Amino acid sequence: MNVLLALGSILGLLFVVHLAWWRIRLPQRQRPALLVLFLGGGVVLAPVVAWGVHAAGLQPLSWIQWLNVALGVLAFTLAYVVTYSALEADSPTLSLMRRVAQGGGAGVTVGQLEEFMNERPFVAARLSALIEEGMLLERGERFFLAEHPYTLFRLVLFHRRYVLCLPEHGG
Amino acid sequence: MADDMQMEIFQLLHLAAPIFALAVMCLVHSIWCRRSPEIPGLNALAGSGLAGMAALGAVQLALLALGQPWREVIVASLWIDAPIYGCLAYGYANFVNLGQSSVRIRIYRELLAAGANGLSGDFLRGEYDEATMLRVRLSRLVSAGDLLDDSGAYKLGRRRLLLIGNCVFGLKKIVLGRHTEFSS
Repeated sequence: MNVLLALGSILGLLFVVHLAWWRIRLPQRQRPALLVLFLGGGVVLAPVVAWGVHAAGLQPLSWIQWLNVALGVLAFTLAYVVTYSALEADSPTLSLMRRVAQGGGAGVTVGQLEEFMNERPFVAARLSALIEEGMLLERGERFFLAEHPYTLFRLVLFHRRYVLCLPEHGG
Repeated sequence: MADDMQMEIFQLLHLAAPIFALAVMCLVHSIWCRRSPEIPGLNALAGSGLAGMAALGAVQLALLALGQPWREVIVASLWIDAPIYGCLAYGYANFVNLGQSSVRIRIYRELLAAGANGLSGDFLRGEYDEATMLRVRLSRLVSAGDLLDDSGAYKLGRRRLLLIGNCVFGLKKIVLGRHTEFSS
């Protein structure tokens, strides 16, 4: 139970800081800021929580239990950061599902869905986001990849091609 | 002394359980995708996620067999091991899904293939226009059973993606104070 208490305290405090920070001012590079906040903040808060456990008269955590807490913070952070991609940018698939749900029992026609998609310029928004993040360069009417390697994207493509052996398709 | 060592073994097994379960999930998913690429992506992920959950359960049974009291096993598995595995599995599922449906990754792939010449804005906008995105997504959602094509009218099939969508859009409202990036 002490592991749960320590993990819950650290994540709860970090989430409160995250909400306060984001409401006061959005960081320019939101996902890297989240990683720094949750992983760095976890390291900073661990001694504070350890002191709290001691002050409350509870049994101190062993080094293995602290590793378990670290794994919990890491797992939650990774899960939250990938979820955050869907928070900062709307998912076309999830948006479509919600639009169809609004249609109720009568359903939704392709025309209505086309109208819905036209009101949401996903591609233009993604291009702008990629330029803002520094991944794309726009010179005149053409787009180029920036010089620095985008490790996450490379990993995703490598995994898809060589581990899952899936064809390159989708939309 | 023996009790301390036994306690450390229990703690180590609880620490390793979610990692082992994730490894099983990744392995099963990889085998599934290689052997049956026609299976909808979400189904393969859900199936391999269940395989990982079974592996997590197997570790808990091993802990019981090694003598950890069943109350401790239940509390640790329900409140710590399973949520940590859930987060890891969710992260893996999103990582896989990025390669399938992320517009950003697909644009990146096109530009990587284009090399030093880059690509024109007209080409990218034409290749990834909203009509194409709609067509590909409708086809994928219908084949996975998430939508039903009822003579030209699309209706809800399975509600799992709607549930995820409602959670994501609700969280967006809490964190960012808005429901959609396109709201003014």
